[in-house]
Amino acid sequence: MDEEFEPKIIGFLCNWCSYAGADMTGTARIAYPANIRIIRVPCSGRVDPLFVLKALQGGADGVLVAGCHPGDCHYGDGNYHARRRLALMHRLLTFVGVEAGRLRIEWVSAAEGNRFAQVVTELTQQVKQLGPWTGLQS
Amino acid sequence: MRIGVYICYCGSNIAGTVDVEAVCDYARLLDGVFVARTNKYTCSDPGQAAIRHDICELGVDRVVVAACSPRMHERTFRATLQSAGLNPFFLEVANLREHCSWVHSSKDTATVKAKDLVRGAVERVRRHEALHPRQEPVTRAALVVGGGIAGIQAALDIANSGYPVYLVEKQPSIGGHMAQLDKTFPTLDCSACILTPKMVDLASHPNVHLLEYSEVVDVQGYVGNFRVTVRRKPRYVDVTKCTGCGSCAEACPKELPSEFNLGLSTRKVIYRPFPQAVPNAFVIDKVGVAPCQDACPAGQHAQGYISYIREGRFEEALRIIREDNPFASVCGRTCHHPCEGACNRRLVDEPLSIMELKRFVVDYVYARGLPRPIDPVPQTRQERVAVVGSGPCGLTAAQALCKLGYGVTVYEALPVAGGLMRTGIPEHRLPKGILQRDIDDILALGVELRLNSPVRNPSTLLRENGGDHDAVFLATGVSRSTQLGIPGEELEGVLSGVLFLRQVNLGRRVQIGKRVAVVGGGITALDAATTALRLGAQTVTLVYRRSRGEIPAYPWELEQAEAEGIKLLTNTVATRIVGDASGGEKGHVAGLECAQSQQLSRIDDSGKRVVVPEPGTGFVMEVDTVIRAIGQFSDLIYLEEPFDRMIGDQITLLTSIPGLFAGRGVIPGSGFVVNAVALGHEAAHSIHCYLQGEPLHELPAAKRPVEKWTREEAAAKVRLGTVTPAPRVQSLRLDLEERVRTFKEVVLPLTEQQAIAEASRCLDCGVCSGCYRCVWACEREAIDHTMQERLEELSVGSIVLATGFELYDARKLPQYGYGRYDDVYTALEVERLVNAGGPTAGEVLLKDGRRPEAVAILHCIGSRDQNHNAYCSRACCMYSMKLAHLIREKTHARVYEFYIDITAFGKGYAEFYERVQKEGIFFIRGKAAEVEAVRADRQDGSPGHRLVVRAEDTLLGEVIEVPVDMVVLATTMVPAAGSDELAHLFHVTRSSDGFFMEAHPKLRPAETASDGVFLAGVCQSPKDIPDTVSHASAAAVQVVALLNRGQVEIEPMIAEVQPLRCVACGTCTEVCPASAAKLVEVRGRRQAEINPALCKGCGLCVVACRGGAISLHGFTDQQVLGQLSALLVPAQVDLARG
Repeated sequence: MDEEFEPKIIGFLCNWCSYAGADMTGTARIAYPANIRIIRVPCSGRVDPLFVLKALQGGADGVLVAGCHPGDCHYGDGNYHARRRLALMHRLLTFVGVEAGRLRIEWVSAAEGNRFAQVVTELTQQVKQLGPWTGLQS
Repeated sequence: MRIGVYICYCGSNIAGTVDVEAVCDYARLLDGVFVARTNKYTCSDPGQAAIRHDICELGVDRVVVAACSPRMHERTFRATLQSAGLNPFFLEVANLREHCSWVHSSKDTATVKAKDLVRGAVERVRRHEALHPRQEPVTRAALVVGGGIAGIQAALDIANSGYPVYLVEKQPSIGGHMAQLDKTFPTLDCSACILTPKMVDLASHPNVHLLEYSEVVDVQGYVGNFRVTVRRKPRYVDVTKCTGCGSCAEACPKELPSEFNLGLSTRKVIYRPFPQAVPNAFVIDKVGVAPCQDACPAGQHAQGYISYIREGRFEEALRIIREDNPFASVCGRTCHHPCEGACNRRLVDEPLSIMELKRFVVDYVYARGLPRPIDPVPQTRQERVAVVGSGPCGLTAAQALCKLGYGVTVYEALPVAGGLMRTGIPEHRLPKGILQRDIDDILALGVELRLNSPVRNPSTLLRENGGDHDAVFLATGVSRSTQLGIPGEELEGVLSGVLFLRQVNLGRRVQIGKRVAVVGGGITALDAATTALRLGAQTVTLVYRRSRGEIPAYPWELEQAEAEGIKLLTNTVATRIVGDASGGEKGHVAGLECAQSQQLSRIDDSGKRVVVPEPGTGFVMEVDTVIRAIGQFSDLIYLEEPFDRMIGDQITLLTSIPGLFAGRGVIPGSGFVVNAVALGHEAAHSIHCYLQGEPLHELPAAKRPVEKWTREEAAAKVRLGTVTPAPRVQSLRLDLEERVRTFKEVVLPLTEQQAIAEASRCLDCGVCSGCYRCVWACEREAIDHTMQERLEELSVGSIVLATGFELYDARKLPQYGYGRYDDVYTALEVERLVNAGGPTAGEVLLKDGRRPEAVAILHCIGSRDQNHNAYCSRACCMYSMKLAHLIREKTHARVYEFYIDITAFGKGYAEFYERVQKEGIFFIRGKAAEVEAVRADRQDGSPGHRLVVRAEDTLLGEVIEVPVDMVVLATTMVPAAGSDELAHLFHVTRSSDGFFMEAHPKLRPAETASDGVFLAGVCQSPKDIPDTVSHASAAAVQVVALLNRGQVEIEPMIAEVQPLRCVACGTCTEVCPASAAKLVEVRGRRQAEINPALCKGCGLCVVACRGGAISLHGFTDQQVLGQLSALLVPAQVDLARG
């Protein structure tokens, strides 16, 4: 490939905190790499670990799941469930050979526009270094 | 299916970075897309009209709007669909602005991304289904949290619109910080003058329910249907009776720093926050209770009566003792005084001799005749109560019930009253006459006493069984001695300790020998031993089976007994009583066989290790009398079954027979007179509730925090000289000689000087000492120290948060010397100084009383500062100028203002700035870097210091040092304490500056992301009073609009179970945070069901369900995965298409 590898990142963002935080990034015009495509969910607890798997199978090189900070979940404790499930999924993925750096779970509040940009930039960089993900194709 | 795609230019916001036309062309090629259009502003009328047209004329049945964030306009476009007759949920918004054009700079990459996002949205909307929102009625009432000017304004607006509104304020008065201000800028209106009319309006408004001195502790529900739990803190003053006269505060002996005056002056423990407080009533701040009062089972106000003794007011001391305890004489002589064990003074030197002080007061007052005769209390109630047993418990209950107006009869089997106080405590510890005094005082109230009247069947006393009483209390106590359970117990000369003492105390002849053994180690054993000695025994030995450290008798009594010659054998078990062969079938005691104790590892009922005799260590003690005193239990003989085993309910004291009350049975460690007194009060209260038809089951009183000191604190106070160690007073004892030959009282009373000196050692630990000076001073009887906190539940449809601010702690900026140098103040403190109602009556004075000649006002202390708060606190420039003006007016001092920029943005503000400049106030453009205190002798040569402010004057380009007498710091407004908890409770988020986050900073400043919760005032961000009032009214109108609508639409994005797939494993019920998932039975089949009224739509259950039986409308797996796969379409495939 003559072009530089541009990873495809999928982001699952919860409506109340992280999606709003990403909106804040936009409102503040803070730039970040354009590799990420965001899917809105009501709560990070809605993110089925299978979504992560499907994303990697479908062609994503990296996945970001972002929710509210612990204690701030709009629904109470959805993000705690997300944390546990995704932690397990993360271990399973590394077990089958997916590099740990391809999945990132973050807590981003509605006010953290700066941080969202930082997280996306870091993740994109990291996945770029890891290279394209071609395993797990169905 | 006909999908319509509408791509927005959003002016140049999207079009500036994304090639909108290219995206539109691309969209046309997507599978299922029937029409694709662009628009400059899709949210505008023409934009929406285009969508409506396509739906109506072209049959478009799915809509994708690619524009700004759905959080912005999803609602708008849903309404567009609805107005065209299409179900509003056939819409998907692609975020091309906040997530694309605004954050990426390359047109190429942004356009590719935009195409991806549109493709994803199209794939998704294909899978949308029609959804129908629920309509819920709105509770037509509102809650405002916070009673400052913002809360007051919002509440008034809502109330004036005709809706009931609850205002919850955590301080005892509304008014907030505005009540602390002197004059307000720019008009120099007097703050109190413009605020107090609003406060009064609020309190007297028929639609307003003021819950002052209260806090919100729980919030449940959702918009239109909130259930809020409020904790009403006890004021201890009845607001409906208090006239605000202030006699109570005058009488109160203790001062505390005044919160309203920021610690610059003091207030009493009972206080009114400020003279114009609303409600205009007093309040007692009782947060910390003294450890002595906390340790006393009857809650005696030890600190209170000691405070009277200190002043020589012994009658009042006795009065407060008797509020809770009718047997002051007894307790003052025989109590186990846990109060002394808890006394903080023990960490300094020795605890106060509280029991001796109580005894001193009793003896002193009685020696001089009672202050006034006791008038009988007329029986004002029809009901009569019978009390069985005239011990401390029974008589206390009788007294309490008599005072409440009931007719009371006490039945006593013996010929004397007083129970074990009379028959169990020997004369040399409690002279009979003294006890009788206390009993006579109770009888004088009108309690009927029937001696020699044993009651066999208490239920016959009740009216329904032929008696004359409406309730009966069994207070027969523990008057039987436990058997030793060893051979020889039936021999002559073996006595029950309780019976022995009773016979002696009733004045009857008792036969004991010369060599006495007392088995046991409690106070009864000790009393029996000392009594035996006084009856002429030559040797008295106490046989106790455990160690000395474990002996239950009072250590001081034990010491006295040993001093009198009583021997103590510890670790010795009695195994057999040896009889002699003399006279008849029943022999006489000749000896007591004992052995060393051996402790096993088994634990017995009392929680201690089982003790058995160690084999091979037996010996025989030659004795002719054995007295057993190893334990006591309730009388079996005097009552018929089943009354002999009757105990009352743990909380209500009611037995299984209606109207019959009894104690809780024998509880180890609580067999003291003071415990019996406490139980007597409890019984009286229970009986009173029962007779009045009130509920008996009450929550136990909330435990108040106790002012317990640590060793370090005590040591620190001694070091600082606040407390001077002094030895505990020692009361004298009778001569040993005299002691053992007579039944004269062993312990001699303190002298008046000793008592006052001892009372002066009291450290006044509790905030309120319970001296009741306030109660006795109040002519309206408005003070009630027994008030409890209550929880109240409110149902409201909408909530306004108006919790205001506090000031940033100036100690966090130590370079300005706050807290270190005298005369460095915060601006709010100076407000109090210049206020005529403040600590200096409006004079601006230095700590040493002089008027300042030069004053510096420092702006931006903690604000606009990367190290502290990045934001501007908005009101400081203006109030600094106002303070400058006031200070100059009052003192003619030179005033310097050190500023970064002057923020004088409002109406009349710039003009005020001009005016202040013209008054000769110096404005130095340069934030002060530090304040230093420098030695500078005064004009008269006396030593002094000056404060020097160092700053860079940026207009001059020089560093300057300005000597002044007083420095005023304009500190930052920060969110009020407790905002963290409030944010959690009300589900509001916080902005990066910590204030509550508004829904949109420009367009929706008074709303939050949580429907139904609004913001008013500084809690959203710093503002001055005019802006606060506007903001509050903005929130109020939102509330009124919601309440007017009467109905609210709940989004239908909720979860639903497919019953056929459900195996009823119950996992969903475990994860649901809203408790909406439950297992139910439908036509004989168990399955999960989601309650649509409770489901919030988080989707946790969807993921948890292993069988995939649950789906979340609006966010189904198919929809998400469809969007996902569309977003990941490989580039080559994509290029081929487009």
